[in-house]
Amino acid sequence: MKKIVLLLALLITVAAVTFADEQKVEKLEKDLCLLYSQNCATRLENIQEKIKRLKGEIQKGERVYTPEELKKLQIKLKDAEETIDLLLRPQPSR
Amino acid sequence: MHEVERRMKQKLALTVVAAAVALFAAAPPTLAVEHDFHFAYNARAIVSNFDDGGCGPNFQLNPRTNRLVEQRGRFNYGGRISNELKLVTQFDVAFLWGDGFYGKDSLTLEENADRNKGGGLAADTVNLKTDALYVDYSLPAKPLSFKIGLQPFHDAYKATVLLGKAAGLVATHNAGDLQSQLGWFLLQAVPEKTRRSGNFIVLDEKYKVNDTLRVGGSYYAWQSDWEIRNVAGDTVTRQDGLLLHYLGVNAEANFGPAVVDGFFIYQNGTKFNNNTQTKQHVNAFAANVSGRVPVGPGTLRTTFLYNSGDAAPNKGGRNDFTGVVNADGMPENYFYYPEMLLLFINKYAIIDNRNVIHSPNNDGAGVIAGFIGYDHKLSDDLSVSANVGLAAVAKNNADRPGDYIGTELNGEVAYKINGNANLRLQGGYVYLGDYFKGSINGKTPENPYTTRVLLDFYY
Repeated sequence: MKKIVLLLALLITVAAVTFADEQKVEKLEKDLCLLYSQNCATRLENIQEKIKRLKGEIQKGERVYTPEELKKLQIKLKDAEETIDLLLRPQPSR
Repeated sequence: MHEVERRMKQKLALTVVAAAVALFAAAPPTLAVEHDFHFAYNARAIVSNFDDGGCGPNFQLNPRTNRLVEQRGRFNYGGRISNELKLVTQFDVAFLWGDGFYGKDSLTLEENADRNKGGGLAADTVNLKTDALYVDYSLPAKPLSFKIGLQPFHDAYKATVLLGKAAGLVATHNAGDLQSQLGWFLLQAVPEKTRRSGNFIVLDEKYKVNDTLRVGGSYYAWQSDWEIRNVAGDTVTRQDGLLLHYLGVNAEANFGPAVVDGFFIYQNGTKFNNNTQTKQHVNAFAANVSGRVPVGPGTLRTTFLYNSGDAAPNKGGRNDFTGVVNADGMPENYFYYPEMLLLFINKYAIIDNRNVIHSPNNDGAGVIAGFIGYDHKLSDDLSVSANVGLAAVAKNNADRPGDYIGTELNGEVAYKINGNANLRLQGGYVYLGDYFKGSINGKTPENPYTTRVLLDFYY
């Protein structure tokens, strides 16, 4: 039983350290707010700024992001562009 | 034996928990639903002898000076569930300041809670319009996606065929530089009352040949055997009875700093004429060429549009090209491209939909129109634009003394209040042509003018 508890504690510690480490590295290079809606608390931006930032991040390409993450950013860019089209669609209501 | 089994089970359970915790901690953060809220605000204050918050042409001999303010809010919510699945919604509230309260009409006090109302004291009226309510689903690992539900549609022909919103299904396939779209919209149907309906079919192809040339082709079909009945539902007051095919090509090319684009779209089919109660064969077309080029410190824009007309709509076949109209007979196509304020609809229109030419079909007369505009950015925050538009009917079918509709001169000064808010001052004047000479009981209507102050922002 002791062994299991020890193993569990070890696993959690290793995992936590690995995750924290990963986050530290990612924070320097990847935009976690755009990718996973993390660390966005202090960030208030309008949709034009979001598009600009998405394009900038996508340009970094595979030097920074995995193909899966790039795909995610491209989907978000398409979403944002479609949203602007909707918000500004020219049609009077009479 | 039981004790050993219990311990083994406990051990197994703990191992599973440990493994799960480890996996959770080591895995990249996963997503729940991502909520995305956006908003657009528009307001226009207008002083005009033509704009009055209504719809359609508004020619008068002695027009009064109308002063009105219209306002709109668009609420956009998107919920992305995964890379494949997204919900898109947008609703809008629009009203004229001072018009309608507690579900009543401000003038007659009739209970007519309606769209575009609720701008009066107490501001209490149901006034919500659906711009979008659909699901966007992409097949995993395949370049095929579907939009299912009520959604906006903008044709590839500068909104001369259909710019509207309708319930339907649109499939989009991307294969490298070729994008194909196949869609169906149900325009009208009341299944429990009638088997009649209106439908619109879309087949759109877009191909990027290289960095300087993009081409496209389309087939649209608009079918409607819809009947408009009286309130009791026992008498048909108007009917559509049409099947129209549209075949179009479009292209956009860069020539150095200049961009030229244009289209040609041909229409063929049959439609029912409510005046003569006969079916007519339709053979018509529309064509456009536009260009943008940097000149001096700004950009010069030009546009030309030809929409074929018919000299005698109640005789023989029909040669007037027509976009889609709704069950009320009103056009659901808006040629906003040339930046006119009065000749054609303006892209910033909120409620007021007064235009000298209500749609390129122009009551069957069609239109020949040319436009030239110039945009100049004076600083990061300040820009100015000027436009001239000239229009004539393609076929004079109203026995008017001339074909020339008029010349519009307009200008805009736009000031960026901050990153996403703009204040605009616009003014426009139309010198009516001989088409309107003596058009109201032998007398000529006054030339339309408008001045508008706009505030818009979105985030």
